[in-house]
Amino acid sequence: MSLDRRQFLSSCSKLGFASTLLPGALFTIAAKAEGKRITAEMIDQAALIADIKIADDQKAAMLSILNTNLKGFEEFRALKMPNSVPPAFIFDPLPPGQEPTPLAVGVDPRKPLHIGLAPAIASKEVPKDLNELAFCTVRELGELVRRKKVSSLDLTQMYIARLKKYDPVLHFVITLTEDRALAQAKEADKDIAAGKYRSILQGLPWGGKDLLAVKGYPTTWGAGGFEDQVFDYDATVVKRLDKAGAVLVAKLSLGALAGGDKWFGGRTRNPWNTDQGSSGSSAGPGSATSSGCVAFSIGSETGGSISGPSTKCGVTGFRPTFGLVPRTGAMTLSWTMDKLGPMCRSAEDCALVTQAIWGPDNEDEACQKASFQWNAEFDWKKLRIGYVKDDFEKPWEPPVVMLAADATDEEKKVYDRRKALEPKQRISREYDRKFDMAALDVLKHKMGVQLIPVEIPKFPYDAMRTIYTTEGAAAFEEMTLSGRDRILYERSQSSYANGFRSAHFYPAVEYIQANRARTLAIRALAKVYEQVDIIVTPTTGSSNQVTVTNLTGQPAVIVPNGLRGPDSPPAGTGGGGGGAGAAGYDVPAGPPDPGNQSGGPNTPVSITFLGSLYKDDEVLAFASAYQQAAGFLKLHPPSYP
Amino acid sequence: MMNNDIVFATVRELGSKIKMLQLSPVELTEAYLARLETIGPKLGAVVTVTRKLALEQAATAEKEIKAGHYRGPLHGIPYGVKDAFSAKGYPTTWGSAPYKDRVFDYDATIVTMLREAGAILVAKLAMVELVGGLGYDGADASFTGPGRTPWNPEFWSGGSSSGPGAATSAGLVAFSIGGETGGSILSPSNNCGLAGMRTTYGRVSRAGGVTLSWSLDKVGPMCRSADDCGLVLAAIAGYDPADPATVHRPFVYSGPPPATKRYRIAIVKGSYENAQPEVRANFEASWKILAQFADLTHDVELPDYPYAPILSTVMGAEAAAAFQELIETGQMREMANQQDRLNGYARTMISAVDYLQAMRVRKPARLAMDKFLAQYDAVIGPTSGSVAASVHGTFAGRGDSTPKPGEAAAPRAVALTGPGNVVGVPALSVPNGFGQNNLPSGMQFMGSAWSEKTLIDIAVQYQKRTDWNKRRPPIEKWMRSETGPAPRVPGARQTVAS
Repeated sequence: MSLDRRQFLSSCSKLGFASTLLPGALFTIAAKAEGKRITAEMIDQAALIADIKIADDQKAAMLSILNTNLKGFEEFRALKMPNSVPPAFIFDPLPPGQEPTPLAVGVDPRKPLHIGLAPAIASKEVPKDLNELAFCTVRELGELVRRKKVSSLDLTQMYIARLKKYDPVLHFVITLTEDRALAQAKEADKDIAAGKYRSILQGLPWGGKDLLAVKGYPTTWGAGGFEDQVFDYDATVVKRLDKAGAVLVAKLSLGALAGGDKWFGGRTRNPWNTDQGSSGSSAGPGSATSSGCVAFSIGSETGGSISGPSTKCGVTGFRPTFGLVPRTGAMTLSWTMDKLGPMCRSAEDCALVTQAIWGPDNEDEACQKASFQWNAEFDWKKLRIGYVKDDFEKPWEPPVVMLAADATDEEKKVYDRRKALEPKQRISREYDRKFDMAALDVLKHKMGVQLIPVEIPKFPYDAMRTIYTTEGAAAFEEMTLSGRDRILYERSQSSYANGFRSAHFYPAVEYIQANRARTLAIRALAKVYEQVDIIVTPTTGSSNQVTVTNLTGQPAVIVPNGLRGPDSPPAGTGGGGGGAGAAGYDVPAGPPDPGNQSGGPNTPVSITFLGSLYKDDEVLAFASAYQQAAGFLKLHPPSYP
Repeated sequence: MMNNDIVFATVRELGSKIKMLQLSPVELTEAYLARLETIGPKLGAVVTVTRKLALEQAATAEKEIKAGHYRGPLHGIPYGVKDAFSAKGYPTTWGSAPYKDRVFDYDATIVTMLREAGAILVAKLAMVELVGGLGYDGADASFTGPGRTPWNPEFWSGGSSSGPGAATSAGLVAFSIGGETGGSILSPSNNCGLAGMRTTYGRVSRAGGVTLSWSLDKVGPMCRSADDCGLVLAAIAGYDPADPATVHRPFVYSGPPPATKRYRIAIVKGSYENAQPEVRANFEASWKILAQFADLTHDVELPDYPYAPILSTVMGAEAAAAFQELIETGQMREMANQQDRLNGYARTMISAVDYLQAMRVRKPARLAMDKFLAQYDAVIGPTSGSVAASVHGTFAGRGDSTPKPGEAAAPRAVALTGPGNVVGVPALSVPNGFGQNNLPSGMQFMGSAWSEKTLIDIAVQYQKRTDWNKRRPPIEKWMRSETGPAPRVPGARQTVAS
């Protein structure tokens, strides 16, 4: 199976036939032509782009089929499918013969089995300045509200005030939902006064990534040209959090179309160092949760969008198993890779939020009849814990990038710039590795865990990332074809507008082959999970676990793991920011943009716990135990009193 | 030697005789083996006769039944499987020259299930090369030569399950298993006058079979009665961890219900009006029979979706992926049919985005079809607009053109077959008369997902009132004829491969 595009192209050229670049090129040329018919000349033009030769008699034989196809493709486009229409296949991350364990009959899916002990704060006097509660956990705030020590309305007003106060610096709010929030807060207070207890989230203010539809408010997807988009329905997670009694205070920023941290209103900032971007694409959820401007938030991840900002902003992020949380009403980037998950100030908070939002909604067909039941007293000692030995013990290796023999001057320049960065990246990663090793110490010596060495199976994962750019290109085809993508804010080489345009040139065969390679990766990783229940891994390691597990679907808890000290190497580009260091990143020319940088003194690092498929409650329990043992729970940036 | 009545008997008749020890599975197997070896090649129906395996299985079955260990209605019944499915130790050719000697060391799930039900594998049956997914345009698209209908060997058996069609119709096997992606069970059932069933996507495991399209491929029985389809389906339906499309959904069949209700049947507009006159007349004549036990609604319209482009885009792209190796190594040159040598390349030119858009249209199409089909027990139309085409030359009426009345038309899916395959619902074709050149015509019943039992019950009622399925093709006549078909079967194996 040849997934490397260049290799594939050259092997096809040798055969004198077929091509990776041909299909899109051909249909693009035809779409612009009079009469929209493919001619032999067009095959020649497309073949030129693809650098291949096709004999005249072969061309003639191809024309009838190509034109029939073209006619059919126009019929698809004529249907004007909105982003919400999924394809008629459903991605299932489970290997053959495995099925999720359904929740036992009679168990309330919204009720945790056990929650953690009542926090100390519950018995203390409530501070006069509620800002002192801004960095409390959901567990703490929930207890205060339930005991009527603080009202939902006061909490809501406090957080809204903070959102307003810090937004000019952090750029994390797209739309405040103030009216809705105040009404919900009053209702929560009324219900609590009347003894109507809904859940531990009752009365707690939260922020949702602005790819979640909320009736009556714009849902902008962070993208220029979509500022006024309004849906007349609520996303399932919004409905469920409403039902739990939580209070939606803001629609938070995301990089345009769920890529990066730049959106039409600016660039969301890292509360630990506002020169830096927050990372993305769950930029607002990361930044606002970190700076104590919401009690919790909901983000989404396709290829690293919870992991990246959770790491950079120092919050606990949870990316559930693919298919645990329904995505109905959320923007689609990739039907087979998108996941929604909470971003909070503790693993237990993530579990409490997940309890309210998991489970099938009879709309998102990828959502499985699994189980989730938070148990703070879960006996995690019975779990088998693996660790990605090489990623902990060996110095970090940058992704291998080969410069092709026929590379252009521009490609050479980018390559040189990347190479020039590598020594700095190595120093940064080597510094960060101390934190990873310290985590192993905590696991071994404080928690008494027997660590089992494992390896992440090797597959061409970066090549498989074409799966989500292709799906995104289909989901946003109308935008690309109409030229509307030009008004997107972000125009760099790595932006989705460019990615989607490029993806129109990918052949269906390669998309299918990428998914078949993914099947092999799923089976290989399932073998690893026969030995362990949970895998501990550096968030950014040579194994590229963020990309791998986004393809294979395992749940991940991203846990803050300390602060870089004054001796830290300075902030740098690439390699240090969660999922942002994958092979495809570009290095712009000119002086480095600090917004693209990460790391440096007084910024947080993270560690990642990968769970077994649909055993989300177990990995959260283990991450929570680690968090209590490691002691970085109360870590928050100092500049947001 | 057995008489012809036995080799043309239904599975149910054979099964009851075997159970009562009135019929020896060994003798029955020998009768079918002899016919496979003599008549099979003349019909281009057989790739490999699994003689050794068959005789072993027959001996075992006979011993078990005599010992009182009766496994059920398929115990001791000889059958053939389309050569798309592997049987350990025998070649699995997918009907194509590049794979003519390839042997897998495992059984397809259906082969295992049928063995466990006590059925006897007597042959791996011919098929259109690479399951017909490359857009072949003539009956020559098989390395074993054209598949011929037993009703008149100058005409095509249909495809891609051509061998199962011809062999079941000619009494070379008691039943057979075919596969369908875009019409491959219904087409030969039409051309050979069989009861053939395309099952709901996910009903029957495809593991161990060739993949043409992961999202479209289905498996189903091809029999001499609708009732037999029920008996066979009951043995092969069910969840299989090796095929992720299969589901936990039991299918139980013992026979038609004792008292029948009145069924609701709808006649699909556009399905028959342009058919060959005889095909249309046979279809209209069927209404009178159906009206005896069903309320008919005329001129209903299928939900309007671009089914044909969806089918060609999805099948084309998935086939190009499934057979990428043959395309890249240039082995497509070894295909028997001219179009099959080239079309694989055109199919690599479908873009990924267009493939995904086709997959997206399938969802609203499926929902609309669900809603539409829920109003009826079955919707009906002719299985094909025409009777079998000639085995010579290329098919007429290709592409978008509708076959003209009187034209030996293309084996093109009409009206129901494409939509049904796109949305993955079941359909059952039964013979309903004869048309030009004394070739059979068929009528298909299509229903909601998982409604196979209802479709079978309806077809059984129809077959109780007609005798089209009891007619036998005039094999003796053309076997004696000096101008009979030339047995051009270069790769057919007539002896035991071990």
